[in-house]
Amino acid sequence: MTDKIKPRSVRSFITGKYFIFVLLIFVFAFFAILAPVLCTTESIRNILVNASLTAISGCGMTFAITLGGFDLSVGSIMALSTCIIAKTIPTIGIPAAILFAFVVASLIGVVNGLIITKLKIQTFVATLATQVIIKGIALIYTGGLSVSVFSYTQLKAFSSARILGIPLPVIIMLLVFLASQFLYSRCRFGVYLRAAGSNEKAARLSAVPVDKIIIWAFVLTAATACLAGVITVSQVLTASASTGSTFALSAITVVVLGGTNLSGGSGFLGGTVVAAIMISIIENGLTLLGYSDDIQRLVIGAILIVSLTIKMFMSPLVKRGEVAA
Amino acid sequence: MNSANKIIGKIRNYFRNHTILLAFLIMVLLLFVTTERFRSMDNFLSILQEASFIGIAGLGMTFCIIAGGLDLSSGSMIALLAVINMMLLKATNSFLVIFIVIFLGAVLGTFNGILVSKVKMPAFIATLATFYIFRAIAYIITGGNPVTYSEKWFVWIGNGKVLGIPFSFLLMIVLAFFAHLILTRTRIGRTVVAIGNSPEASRISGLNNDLATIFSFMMVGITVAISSVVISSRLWSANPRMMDGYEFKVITAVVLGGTALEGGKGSVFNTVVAAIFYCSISNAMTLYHVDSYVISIVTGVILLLAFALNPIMQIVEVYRNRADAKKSKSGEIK
Amino acid sequence: MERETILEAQEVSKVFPGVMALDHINLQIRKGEIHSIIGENGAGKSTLMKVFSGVYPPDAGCILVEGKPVVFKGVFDALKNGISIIFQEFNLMPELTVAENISISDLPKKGITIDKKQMIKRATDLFDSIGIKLNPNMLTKDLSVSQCQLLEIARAVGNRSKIIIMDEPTAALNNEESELLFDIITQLNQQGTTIIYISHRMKEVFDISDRITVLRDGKLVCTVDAKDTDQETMVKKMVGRTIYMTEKFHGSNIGEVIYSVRNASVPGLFKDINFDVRKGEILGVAGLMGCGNIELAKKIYSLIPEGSCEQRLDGKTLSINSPSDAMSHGIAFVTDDRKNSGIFEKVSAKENATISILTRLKKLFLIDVKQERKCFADYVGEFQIKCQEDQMMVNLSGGNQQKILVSRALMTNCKVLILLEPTRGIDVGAKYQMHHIIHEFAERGIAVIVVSSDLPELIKLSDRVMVMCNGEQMGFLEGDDINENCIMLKAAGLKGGSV
Repeated sequence: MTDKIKPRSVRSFITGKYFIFVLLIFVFAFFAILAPVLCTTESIRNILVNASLTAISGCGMTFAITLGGFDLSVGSIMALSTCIIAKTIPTIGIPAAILFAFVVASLIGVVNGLIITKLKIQTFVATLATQVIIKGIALIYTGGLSVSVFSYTQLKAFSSARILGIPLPVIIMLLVFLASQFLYSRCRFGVYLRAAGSNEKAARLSAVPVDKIIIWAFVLTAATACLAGVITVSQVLTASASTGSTFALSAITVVVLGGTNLSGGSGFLGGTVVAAIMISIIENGLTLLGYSDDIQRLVIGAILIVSLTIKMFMSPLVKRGEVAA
Repeated sequence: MNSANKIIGKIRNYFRNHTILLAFLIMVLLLFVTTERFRSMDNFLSILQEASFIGIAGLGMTFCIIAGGLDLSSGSMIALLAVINMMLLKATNSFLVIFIVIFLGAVLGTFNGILVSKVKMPAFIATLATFYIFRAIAYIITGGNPVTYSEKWFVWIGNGKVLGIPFSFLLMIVLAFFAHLILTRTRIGRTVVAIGNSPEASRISGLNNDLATIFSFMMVGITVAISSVVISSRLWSANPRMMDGYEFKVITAVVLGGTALEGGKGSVFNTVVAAIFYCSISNAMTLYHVDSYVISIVTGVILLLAFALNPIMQIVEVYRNRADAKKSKSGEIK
Repeated sequence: MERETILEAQEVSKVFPGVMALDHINLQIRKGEIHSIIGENGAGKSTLMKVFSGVYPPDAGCILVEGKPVVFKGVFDALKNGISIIFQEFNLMPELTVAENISISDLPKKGITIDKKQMIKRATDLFDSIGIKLNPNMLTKDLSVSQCQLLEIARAVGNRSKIIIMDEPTAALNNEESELLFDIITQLNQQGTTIIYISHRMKEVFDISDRITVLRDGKLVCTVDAKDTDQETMVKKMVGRTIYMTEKFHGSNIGEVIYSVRNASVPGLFKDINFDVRKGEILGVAGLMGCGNIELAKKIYSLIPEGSCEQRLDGKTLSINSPSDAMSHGIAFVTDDRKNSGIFEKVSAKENATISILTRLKKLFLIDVKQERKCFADYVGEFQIKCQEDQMMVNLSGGNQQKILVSRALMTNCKVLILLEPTRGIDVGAKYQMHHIIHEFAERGIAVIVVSSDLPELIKLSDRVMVMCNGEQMGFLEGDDINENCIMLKAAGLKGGSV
């Protein structure tokens, strides 16, 4: 008895993987009608550039969540990266500063991974703690003051340059997405990630190098956070240790909205990027309509709740866990 | 000789269930001996007072975590409730405002509970969303500005003393007593523990899982509301930016006290001791003129250590429990 | 003709805190044989297998493979030495496809990417060679339990090990699938693979084994040729005392019909089931795996929301929407899966038992601890439960846990008691006690419904047996018709036996 893979109905298509795409269309339409100025190329560029920060970090976070864990320290890592770049540019120049930041961020990722695998602490808690520790380090490093790099205008190029009219950060976002997708679906890393995320014990017994995978996943979340930091510092030309306090939560939000399952084992990178764009549309749309930051956060929180509620009500009973399959 | 052994055995057993107490006593002893300023009664009392700010909310959070959940919105909740508290007090000057705030806290908590139990959102996501929403509401209703109120009767709550002991600390102890009773000697309390072990078994046993989930989040709401009254009283004001990172401290206190994050087992008493322990360490570091940035690093490290030890302690407890049974006369266990 | 020894345990001991799981085991497994290991729960079978397969190292003694001592640092080491194990708990990764699960330990590469075509081909070739039909692209989480078991078996075969250890492989399989498994085992055996087989099902053990080893309390009792012994002798050696397997209970206190079920249906699971149970009667519900008997029991206790059924108790029509409704009407339920849906692991034994009757134990808003302890003590005495009241449930043996679960149900003073697989995974001694408990409470007037895949148990306990097949009611058996033959005929869907 060979079983067929379950057929898709329209309903399950919408409430399944591609829910976020449907939502994106609705959201864009909604704001486009209310604030038509949203549809100009300049505005769209803004939206995409804004989205790139969470999208890039979201790709790394998708790996962590597919593994069944979270990296709450990405905000602090991003902040620390901006500080490292800002403080070292005067001595070693821009490219070396960026490289140095990447090295430090990757090392932090390794430490996170080791804390989780060797000390056997849950990811949530471990990164909750390292977030505080890294922030503390950044504060000591900068003495609590912001560091400015106004004079290094070449740095601005990172965020303002355009290739074929597309801003560099957006291109970086696409590249990161493509690279992540490749890693996830075509390489062993992706299979191991899903294996460890769906049943860690079985994965270990099947000779999956779970510990190594965990460390790699956290290196990737740290590296993507650092990349977001590079773009940030290039945009504002200053660095401060206290930025990024809600960055981790934003990254997690886009991963969850994008459709990646929190229980692990199946990640959806496309959804993450689309969700990041959607959130950016909401933020920009609300700003254009004159609403403040706080309202924006309220709306995002509400959307998170509403979209998950809709998903739950429209999904078949089996998924709700009320009936054993 | 035998009765001495028995007493030693009882003491050992007690400390196994309350390891945090042992750690605390050791630490206090060390600090007492080495740091002169630690020895002052004033200092100790101020620690107790600080501890109550986290400890009271920790009582509710203990329920939530035992049930297998987690409430990330408590920092935003406390800010929202504190500003509402101050705004209502300014408007009415009435003692009843406190009860309204507690009621509102219950409502906010229940909202979280409904998201988790009826809408079936994972607790992490639901409270992540309300974390955004509650604080945003606080910003909106205050326009971003602080609200102050400094009537004597109100200010006494967070600053006053009864027989020399800070009122807020006594309040925490009394609340802890009631929380313990609810957890161990009521049906809803036992249901909270049950769902932390096995929601399916709980359902089959005829218990109401959803009610217990909502109740555990409601307890967070109520205790956070009480904390918000105490804190805004201590500070004479409230603003929407306040208590950033509060949820982190509250969760730390619960886990430091030995309640496992997967739930199923925990003690409010341990949470209280852990809150005092945590505050003692901050206090000690301040006395040593440790840079405040370093303090935050150290607290992070403490959290890591607490979490690293937690699973080990759980396993140790299971084995000891088993071994105890084997030693006893009443039959063999396979 | 003595075959050479391929795997040997020499003076192997393994200690866990407080218990000696393996006590100086000396066992030789011969090349190419099918060797079964039997014993009560806790006898050490699983532990020994885990030592053989590298899950843990022995604390004393050593393991020899083909005469050479080996030290396994993990399951993978054992695999490299040619030993594969199929665990009772599946080691599959739900979010991976079938093909990925098969190849996970050794993913085929094409440069830095995975060769997906090769992976699927590997899976299909493997399935074809042993006669299993599974779709390699299906997600493992969408497979049924028996399909998962077959997948596990395929994985072990795919490892091309010299020795395959199987721990209760037929637990999740129906008859047809079990036959398939036995075919696979025979085929492997003919190819020279050595099989070590663990099972509680004596009939199977005798059907396929060359030799049988009995373990008891961590010690090896004996190793004999299957043809030189019989089931009763083996059971005696397992338990250390004689248990009369032919004992049969008869209800002496059967009264009027107290509980009726009409038109019970759940689409896809079962259809149009009707039955009555009388006071003091034990109704057994028999059938092959997947016949719907377990689901029927869950439906009447309102654990399944779909479908419908009408229930009448004491003449009154019941409207049951939740387990607490059912309980308030006097229907109690004991689950078949005590680990996941029965016990509260970190809670004390006493509180586990009293959890369903807390409302009754209240005195002024709070639970009366004294009353609670007395209630618990009564049942401990009556059921001979070996534990302290504040011991954590997870530390008790399976038998004691099961007794506490039954106590929990009986404490509700129920009129109808539903039991699913009441003696699954508990040792023979506790099994015997459990049967007496069930019979005793039936005699006191409770209507008991027992759903069990253990035929001898069902035959021993039941006054009447209802047989189901593929979701349909096949008929009732009474008196002398309650025997393996009649039950199996009906369960297989064939005509014959009484109506």
